[in-house]
Formats: sequence, structure tokens, C-alpha cells
Amino acid sequence: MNPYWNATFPEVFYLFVRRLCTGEIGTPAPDEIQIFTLSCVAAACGCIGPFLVLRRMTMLANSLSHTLLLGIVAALLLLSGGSLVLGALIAAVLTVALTEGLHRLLQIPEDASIGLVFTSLFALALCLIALFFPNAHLSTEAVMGNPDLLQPIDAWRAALVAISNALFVAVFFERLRLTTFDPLFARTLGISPRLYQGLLLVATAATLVCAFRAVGLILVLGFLVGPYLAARFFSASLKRLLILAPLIGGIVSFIGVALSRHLLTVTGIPLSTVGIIAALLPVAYAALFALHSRRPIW
Amino acid sequence: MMLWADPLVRAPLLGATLISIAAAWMGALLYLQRRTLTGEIVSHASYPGLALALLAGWVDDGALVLGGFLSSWITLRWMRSLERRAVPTDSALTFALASSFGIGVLIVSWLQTTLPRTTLLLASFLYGQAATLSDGSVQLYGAVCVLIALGWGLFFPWLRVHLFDREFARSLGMPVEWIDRLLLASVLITVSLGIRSVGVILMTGLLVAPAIAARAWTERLAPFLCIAGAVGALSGASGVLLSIHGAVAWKAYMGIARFTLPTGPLIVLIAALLAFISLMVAPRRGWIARFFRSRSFRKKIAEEHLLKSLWKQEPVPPSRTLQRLVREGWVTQEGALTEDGERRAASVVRLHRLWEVYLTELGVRPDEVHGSAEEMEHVLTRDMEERLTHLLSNPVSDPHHQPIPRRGAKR
Repeated sequence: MNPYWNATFPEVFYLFVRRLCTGEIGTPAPDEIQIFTLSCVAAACGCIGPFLVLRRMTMLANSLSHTLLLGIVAALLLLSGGSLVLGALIAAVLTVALTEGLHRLLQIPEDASIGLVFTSLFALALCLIALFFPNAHLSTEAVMGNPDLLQPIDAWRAALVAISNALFVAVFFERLRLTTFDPLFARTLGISPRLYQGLLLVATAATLVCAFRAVGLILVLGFLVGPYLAARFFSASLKRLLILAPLIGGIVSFIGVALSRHLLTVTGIPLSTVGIIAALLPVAYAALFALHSRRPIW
Repeated sequence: MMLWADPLVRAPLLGATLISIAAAWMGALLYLQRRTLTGEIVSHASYPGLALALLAGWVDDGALVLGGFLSSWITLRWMRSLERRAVPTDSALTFALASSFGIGVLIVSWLQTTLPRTTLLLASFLYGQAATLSDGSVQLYGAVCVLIALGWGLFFPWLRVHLFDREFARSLGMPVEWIDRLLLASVLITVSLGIRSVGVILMTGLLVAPAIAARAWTERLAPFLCIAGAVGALSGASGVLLSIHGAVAWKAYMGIARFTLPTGPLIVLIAALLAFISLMVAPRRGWIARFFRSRSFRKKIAEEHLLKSLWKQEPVPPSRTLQRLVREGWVTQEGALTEDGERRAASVVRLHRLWEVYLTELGVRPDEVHGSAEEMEHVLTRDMEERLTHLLSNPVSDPHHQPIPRRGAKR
């Protein structure tokens, strides 16, 4: 029996803390799995999101989030579900190679080549899904996620990616910062901006894959960009932002799950948790903006 | 054709074709303005509006367009406000896109419980379902195509100025901001309409692929628009036909009873394929053409270097280039220059030394001019040679005190 059944918004928080203290959380309820997984996904995104925004890589992340479906489908077909992460990495490499190739070799403007690459790879993935996985709701789940189906293993995976992203950012912080803000100077010091670009891309691909089940491929983009933009109102220090962004993302996820449970209790309608969180992120942005600045929002 | 008679096929076929043409024309516009990604955000941002329209009980195309138009317009305004607060454009776009799509997902989840009958229609908005198109849709899309064609046709010179030289357009007194708004509004409307055929996520492909294909074939605006429209039409029609016949074939092959091949992804795949093929095979701008052009240019450079060496009576080892020169009559079998060969070599040397004089006149040191001249000697045209001769007052020797062959001479 789900202890969160019929809970209202404040009761969710109370229950969670109580179960945390008494240790009952050891056998987690579905709501708790959602909270853990989504918070870890948000934390993972919050660690690398700032770099993506500052390096103007969000369009690439956007493109990657679509082409990843092809990587996942290919991994399911060819590696018989072996390693989704491998499929994701291959998709990442393919995306970058094709986009650069189209832009340089075939002389297409960059925005057009991004648009062409990701829509055609995504369309290919959809056709493959229709041919080989006709009964799975893979195509809708891919973009929206399905947090209700999350298992504890998903939470562990998300935690793993969050920790590895945090470690990556912590260990390479100085170099990441340098290659982000002054790539030419980094080159003169022998530090390759392209290397860190590649590493960030790998981290993004891993994050996107682990977020795939939880929030789907499009809404994870909100997690990558939104918390950073909101945190920006508080600080301009990259170190602080790298702590604030995951924190804001995690808090919004928690609130989102609680709100979803509350609305289910009050209205009886099971709303999409992912949709609630995606709608909450701009609300958080606006709220923090209003708190920080005395100018009107619009 | 039996296809025409079958009403289940006719409307989707015609509808998808027509809206693909309209989308291709709008996409051509975005392509020229380098605003392809605006199409991306417009299509994703229409999702909540479409869902809300369904919630209000409006199911016809016009109401859906209104919903989609409003929500994408609001999202665009929000994106602009983000940009004004120093958020980089791509991040603003991504955030606005993800958030508005998420709101759409939220509304859809609400609808799924309260109005389950509309859920199928909403699911079709994600990836398109041309099979749901009706004759009414066909008429609407036809009208839109006619309107767009009329707009382009009647206002072609003004639109051309507006697209390629805004400041000039402004100086001519054209209401540049209003034209922008009108063009954006037509993009919003077309995208909202096209979502029923290819869906929210794939719409960008239908916008951009025909434009990319057309650009490979031509540099002029009118042919560009025509080819884009043709590519769009071809993609839309073949997408629908392939999805119908492909589904039949796959069902027979796999022995399954129920199967639908999604139309939207097929249309986009075909459009992307056409774009790729165009990029490869188009004359002049295609990759194959450029590859052979650059290869023949490199051959020309090798030939001319060889000819120069022979002219200067330097020893030349046998090579394929030498054999080619012999075959084509520039060099004799024994390895000496023919009349034509001497003249060609002399003209290359002339260009080389003229260029060296030119650079020296510009102030470059004499020991630094050789490298540039080695490259320019293959590139300078007859016209440039005449102008250089005139400009430099027909010089007779280069900075290294070597004589410059006169034009047409052999030495």
C-alpha cells in the first residue's frame, strides 16, 4: 500500500521526512523513487547545464536529445538491449559528425544543418520503432518519459550519473572554466578546448540517456537550462552556480512530485509529473526573478 | 488511378502534399533569414495551444490553428523577453521550447482523463497522422497554398529586397517591421496546420529539408522557391503513398494483421533523402561536382608547374602528369615543349612575375613574394592579367631581375 496515497501537498513532505528518519524509506514507495530519480536527474543536469549554456552548446544538446532515440533504438536492435549508454555515445558522435560534415563539406548554414540532422535521425528512429517495436509506447514515452514506471534501479543509475557529473566538473573545474571563457588562451597553454567540448558532450549523452526513462528526451532540456538561468539571479560565480543549479533543480523536482500527488488526491486526475515539473521551472525562474529584482516581470 | 477514387487515400494524399508545399515555402523563408530554429520552437510551442483548443471542444482545423498560433506566439514573446535579459539565444530557445512543450504534456495528461476520446487526436499531433485529414482540411491547405503563392508572386520584388537587404528596404520606405510580423504570422499558421501531417517534433524537417535541397540547385530566388515547393510536394505525396503501400507490404511480409507505418516520419525521411541527394549531385554546387572541379584544378596546377620547369630547362622526372601533357600535345614524346606548350608555360611565368611586381609595388619585400605568386599564377584570369599589365605600365622584369615574357610570346 502506497503510504502517499491520499496525501496532500504538505503531507507529502512530512511523510517523506518521517520515513527518512525512521528508515522506512529503505523500501521506497513509488513516489519516493520518483523523488530520488528526478532529483538525481536534475542534479546531473545542473552540474553540466551551466557549461552547456555558457558554451552555447544547448542547440547541440537539443539536437542530441532527439538523435539519442536512434541510438537507443539501434542499441535495442543490434546489441539486444545491451548497453543503452553505448548506443547513446554512438548517437552523440554521429550527430556531431553529421552536423559538422554537412556544415563544412556540403556548405549548409549551421542552423539548417542542425535541423536537418536531428529531424531525419529522429524520423528514422520512429520508423524503426514502428517496424520493430510496434506495441511499445516507446515513441511517446521517449519524449515525455514515464515516471510512474520507475524502479529503484533507475534511481541508482541517475544517482551514478549525478555523482560522476559532479566529479567530472569538480576534477576538471579549472580547465572547463578556462576553455569556456577563454578558449584561445587555453590553446596557448596547451589545453585543448575541443577535448573538453567532447568530454562535456559525452557527459551530456550519458545524462540524457539516464533521463530518458524518467523525464523523456525533450523535458530534460528544461532541466539543463532552466535551473541555471534561475540560479543566475543569485550569483555570477561559476562555483556557486554549479551548486545552486542542481539544488534548484532538485527542489523543483521534489515540489513537482508532491504537487502531482496533491492534485491526484484533491481532483482524482493523474496529471503528468513531468509536465508539472516542466511547467514549474519557468515559474521558479519568474519567482526568483521577482524576488531578486524589483522590476516588473515582463 | 484507383488512388484517386479511394476516399480514404485521396484526402491524406492531397492534404499532405499541399501542406508540404506550404511548409516548404515557409521553410525557404526561414532558411534565407537563418532562422530555421524559429520553426523548431514554433512547432513545439504550438503543442499546448492545440491541446487547449481540443479541451475547449474545438476539433476543426481553424480552431486548432488559432490555439497553436496563440501558444507559439506567446512562447516566442517569452523567448524574446529572455533574450532581452542577456540569456543567449540558443538557451532561451531551448528553455522556452522545453517548458512550453512540458505545459502541453501537462494539459494532455489532464485531457486524457477528462476527455479520453480526444486523446487519439492529440497523440497524432506528436508525430502526425495524415490519415485523419479530411476533405475540409484539403480545401483549407489548398487555400493556404494559393494565398502563399499569391503573396510571393505579387510581392516578389519587395520580398526579395526585404530578405536580402533590410536596410535598403527600410530606406525605400518599406514597413520592415510589419513585413516581419506578417511573415512570422504566416509561418505560425502554416506550422500549426502542418502539425496534423508530420507532427510537432518533425515539423522542422519539413521546413528545412526542401530549402536545403533547393539551395543546392540554384542561387536565384524564384527557382529556389519553385524547387523547394516541388521537393515538398514530392515528399508529402511519396510519404503518404509509401506509408500506405509499405504498411501493406510489411503486413504481408511479417504476417501480422494490424500495422500502420507512420506517415510523418516517412515524409521527413524522404525530404531529407532528397536534400542529401541534391547536395551530392547538383551541378556546380553539389559535392560530386565540387570534388571533380577541385580535382581538375589540382591537375591543372600540377601540369602548369611541370610546364614551367620544362620552360626553365630544369630536369623533369617522368610522371603521370608528364604523360598527360604528352597526350594532350603540350610536350613532345622526347620531353621537350611543343609550340603550344611553350606559349602556355610562358604565360604562366608571365602571370607569376607580374604578380611579383604587383606585390612589390604594394610594399612587400622581394624575397617574400614568391610563395604568393606560385599560387596566383594558376588563378589569375585574362582580364586580371590585362589590368595588371595596365596598372604596372607593362613591366619588363620582375623583382628578381628576370625578364617577363610578353603576352602570347614563347620566351
